[in-house]
Amino acid sequence: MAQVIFETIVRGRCNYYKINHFPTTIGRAFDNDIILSDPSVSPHHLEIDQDENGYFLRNISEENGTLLDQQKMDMLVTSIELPVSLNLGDLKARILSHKTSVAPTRIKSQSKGLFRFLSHPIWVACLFLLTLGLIFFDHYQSVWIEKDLLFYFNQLLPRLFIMLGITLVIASISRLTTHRWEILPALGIASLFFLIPLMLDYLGHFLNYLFTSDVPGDIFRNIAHFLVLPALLMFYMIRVHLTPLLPALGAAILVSSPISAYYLNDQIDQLSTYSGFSPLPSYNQTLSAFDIRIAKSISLADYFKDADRILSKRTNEMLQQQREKE
Amino acid sequence: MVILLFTTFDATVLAKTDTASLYADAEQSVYQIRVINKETGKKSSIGSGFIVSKNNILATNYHVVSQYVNDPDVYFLEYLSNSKETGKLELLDLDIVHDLAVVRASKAMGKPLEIDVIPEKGARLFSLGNPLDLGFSIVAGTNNGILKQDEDGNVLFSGSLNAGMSGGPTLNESGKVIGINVATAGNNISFLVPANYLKIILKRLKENNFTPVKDRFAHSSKQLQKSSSNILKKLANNHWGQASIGNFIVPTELDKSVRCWDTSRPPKKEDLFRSFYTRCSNEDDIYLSDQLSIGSINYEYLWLDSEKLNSVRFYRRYEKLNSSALASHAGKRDVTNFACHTAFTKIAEQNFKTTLCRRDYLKYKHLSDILFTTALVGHDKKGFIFNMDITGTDAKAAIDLFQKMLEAFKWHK
Repeated sequence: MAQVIFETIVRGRCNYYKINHFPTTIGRAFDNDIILSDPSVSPHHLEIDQDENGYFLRNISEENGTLLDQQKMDMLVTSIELPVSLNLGDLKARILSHKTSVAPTRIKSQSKGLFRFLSHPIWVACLFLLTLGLIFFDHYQSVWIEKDLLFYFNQLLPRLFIMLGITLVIASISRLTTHRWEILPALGIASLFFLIPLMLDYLGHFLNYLFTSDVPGDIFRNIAHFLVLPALLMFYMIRVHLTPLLPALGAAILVSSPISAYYLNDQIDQLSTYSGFSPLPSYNQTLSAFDIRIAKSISLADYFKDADRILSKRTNEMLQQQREKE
Repeated sequence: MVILLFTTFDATVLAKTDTASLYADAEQSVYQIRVINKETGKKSSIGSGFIVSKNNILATNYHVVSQYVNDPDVYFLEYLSNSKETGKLELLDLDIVHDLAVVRASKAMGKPLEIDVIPEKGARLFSLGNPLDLGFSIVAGTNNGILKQDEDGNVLFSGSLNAGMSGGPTLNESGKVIGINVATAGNNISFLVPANYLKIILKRLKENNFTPVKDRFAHSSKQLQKSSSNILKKLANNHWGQASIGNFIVPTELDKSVRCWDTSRPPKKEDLFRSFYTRCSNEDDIYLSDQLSIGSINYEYLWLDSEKLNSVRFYRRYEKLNSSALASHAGKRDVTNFACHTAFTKIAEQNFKTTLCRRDYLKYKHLSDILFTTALVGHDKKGFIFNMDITGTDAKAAIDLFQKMLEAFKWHK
């Protein structure tokens, strides 16, 4: 005998009721075959029946009524072809054939043991300690007067608090949505949130010196500002909440948008400075203890010859542009 | 203090008769020069001027009329006589380098003053003008010689010039103009432009039948470029002073007009590094407008070393110091943005990261601000930075000077 599935969708979660006998009544009252708790559903809301020609629906709700594929139903019997989508008051529902195929199983991360990157305690501990270590190192490098060790630890504390705060927020959201405390992955994500921008900063500096150009540093800074947070959130949602890619991407962009907007504002300010007048010369000021660079040292005579030619050309172009503006 | 005042008073009494007759003679040849806003009709700046060469030609300072030169659509020039009579003036020629301008009135103004050579040091001089718009005055003082050792400098006048006297004549005892009042540093230290520069302008004007200069900015650009080139060439060919800073021996005073100072910050007990600064400057500038002056030559040496910092930490500190900017008020109406070129160079057998930046003046053609900076690289815990900037100069002459200076660097262990 053909079976029909009645699906309700509440806050993104689906519930399924298998309908074996007809007619079946749906509503909030306890004498229904399918009892729904949504307050916008009438005590007796809908009936499903079948004959040799197929399935029928009858709306019996006089209050909020029923939408069938977004069309308001009257009180008459309506013939349907599966699947259909329904709105019972505010409640979303579908009627499906039992032969409807289901989405493929989402496979949990295959890696096991130490390679469970964000879940294994050892990984998370390493990540957390590495982050703290690098922040400590960064502070230490930028102080050039004699200080107690305690001073550097003192500087570490605010970052540590923020990191634990972020962990708590992420873990709490996980608790609310998945009913699990995901403390370790949350701590891992919070660590990465600090670690990646710092590493990009170091890498950018290294490349700036290597290429005698500010471009790599600028690219990495923009990555740190605009991509790291959404990427981490997306990664977390996919790995821990097993959210599909697109919804995870959307949610990540939405959550990180206030911070992106802040940096975007900054970026626009900077762009308008670049295109406008600046009394400051902009040149590559990086210096590196390791002195690893692609450009070889040239003689002064060659340097001044190049510089004179390049700068004459560029200032001429600027004068030309200025004249065209006037 | 009491003695000083008494001396001045005494000198004034002694000079009384001379001064009175000189004033009576020259009074009719000195005018107030005013820049008037066309819209409001009110004066925006005032100075003094005097009749020279012809009965309708007046000489004054460029800085007295600079507002009009920079914005001829907003302002016009006017004279005010002793008898409160006013009339319009037309700008004929200017020498921006020596801060001089020549204007013409539409009618005869009085007897032209004659020009004479600067008398010997110690000679008595008399300055005329209209200080602080209070009325025409005469100030007695002493010639203290030409400021610089070359013929290009101003005359140091030990007399009390005040604002508003700019552009007025300074006379010798026979009533002839030897200089034009230009600036004061207070306390009886005042400066005069030698009158022979005025003579050059007047000669040029006479040859042109007193035709006004057409493109004032192009005319000034040429003067400024030539003057700057000459100064830099002279500096390049001088015998320079030398000093040792860290492991380097570097040129210090390029000229008598350049002064160098040690500006190292006093070391503190908790410092993990040592640093030394030497700064040099020509302490000179050419007035272009209220906001803008050029002609400055500044350079500085910085040495940094450490035994206590590791090299990564040392370079963090070193990099923070590696930034150079120009102390200039030039804005977007005046100059382009900087264009810079950075590369690694060999200087005194050592590796340096070197940058040259240049921006050009919009109105003054072929005039640039040049900024040079170079930092020692490849030494673990030693840093050395040389910054130099020259404003309102000929780019080629500046580059030649930089190169010559850098070639004089020596490294010693």
